[in-house]
Amino acid sequence: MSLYQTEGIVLSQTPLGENDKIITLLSPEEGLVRAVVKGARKPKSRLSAVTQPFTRASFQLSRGKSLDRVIQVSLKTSHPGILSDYAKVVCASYVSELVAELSPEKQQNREQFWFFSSVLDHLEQREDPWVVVKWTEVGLLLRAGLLPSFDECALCGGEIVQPAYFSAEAGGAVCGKCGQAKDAADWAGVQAGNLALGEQTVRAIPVSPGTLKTLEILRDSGNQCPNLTAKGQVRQEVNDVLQQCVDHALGKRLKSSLLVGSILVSPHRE
Amino acid sequence: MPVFPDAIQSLVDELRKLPGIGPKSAQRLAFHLIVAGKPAINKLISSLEEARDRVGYCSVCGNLTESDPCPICQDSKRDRTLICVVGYPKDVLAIERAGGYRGLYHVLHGYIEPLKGVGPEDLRTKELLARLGPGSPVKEVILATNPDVDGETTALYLAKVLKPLEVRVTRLARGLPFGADLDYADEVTLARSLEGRREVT
Ligand SMILES: [Zn+2]
Ligand SMILES: [Zn+2]
Repeated sequence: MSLYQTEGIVLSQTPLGENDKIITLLSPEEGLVRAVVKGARKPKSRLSAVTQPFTRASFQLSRGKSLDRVIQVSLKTSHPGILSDYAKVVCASYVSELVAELSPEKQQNREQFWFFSSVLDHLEQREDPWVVVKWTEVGLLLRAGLLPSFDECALCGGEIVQPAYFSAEAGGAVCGKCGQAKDAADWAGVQAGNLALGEQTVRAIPVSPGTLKTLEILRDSGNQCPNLTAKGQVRQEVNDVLQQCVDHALGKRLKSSLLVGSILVSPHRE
Repeated sequence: MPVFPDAIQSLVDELRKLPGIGPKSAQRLAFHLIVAGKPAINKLISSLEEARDRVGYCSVCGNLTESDPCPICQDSKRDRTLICVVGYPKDVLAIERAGGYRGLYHVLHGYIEPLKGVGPEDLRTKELLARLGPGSPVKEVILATNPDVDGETTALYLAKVLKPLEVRVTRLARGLPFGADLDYADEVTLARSLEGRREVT
């Protein structure tokens, strides 16, 4: 039995048989790790409470053929500030699902780990989880090389002139000239949310200058979650743009995105 | 390479769909039934049919029942000012087994699980709010959801939507399991037990 020690954040858990569960961990040295927690669903289990989602801890694991096994856990934080707020739990579930999708299994990824670790800390501390979730979406896509461009036209490479559009499938922001061109050879402009690209028709939505500015700030803020908020149209557009980006990058819609969407529509209030 | 006759294989396949039944157990059950013979199998078939035809959900509390409303909802000796909210019918059974509770129940049939795409509207939350409408005798709602992330999340949501109503909302105490050793407890459970401490009178 080969033992190893690693920091980790629990992203999700699923029951296994009658007594056990499987957890998915994000760790700096091993990337995504799936591990069995034996006896976790028995009432007196010592490992059950310290392997709940969003927990950051130091884990001792033993390597197995397909699944590793959790031997010992030394708690760093269970993020009680997340667990005591419904909106924050839903947001934390969503960013956990997203980071699990965008992190390779069994591959060292320190930067991803520390970024995600600070995501949960920010989520715990900030009053409005909206900016934390948006910053996380942009940050994770950027690190994965899947973030579309916000500051130059994805079609002509030119400056963004209004009325601007956004289409993840077209590669990002689309300038007003390209978006409205009717008779150009390659595209026929945006009509009713559709942008014709040669043979193809892709989805495109109108975006205001404030939305593109907000997206740039989120992208350029690196490891520090910016202090910004948005309401009304900008908030809605940023949500729509990033939903498109995530859907397009993953090729599917995340299960938790519906619930998180309903929570992030309007500013968070207690 | 078919090892079993088709009829046995399909029986094994059906049994495997049951919770907690792996391929080995499914085979063992299938062989047991075949060997037990006609009378045993007929008995099983008729109790399955009876359960299918007679058991449904109580339209008031959502518990499994043969009569609607269920015996608990119909029992005039039960305290109608108290509703205990649980995740599943098995939880009603657990609380009834423990004894001491004389109020009514509300079964949600699940928990909010963002990672599975299960939200509040997938549970019997609207039905709970309907029971607390104007003229309702209910004075206290006890949230008896599991003490894990899904159960807590569901309780947080319910606490939020019940807040504007004139009803007392309580949550099952969380802490050390009875009979446990203090130094054996994990850090999270111990911290929560401290948080939920009570004055000794
Ligand atoms: Zn252009
Ligand atoms: Zn009932």
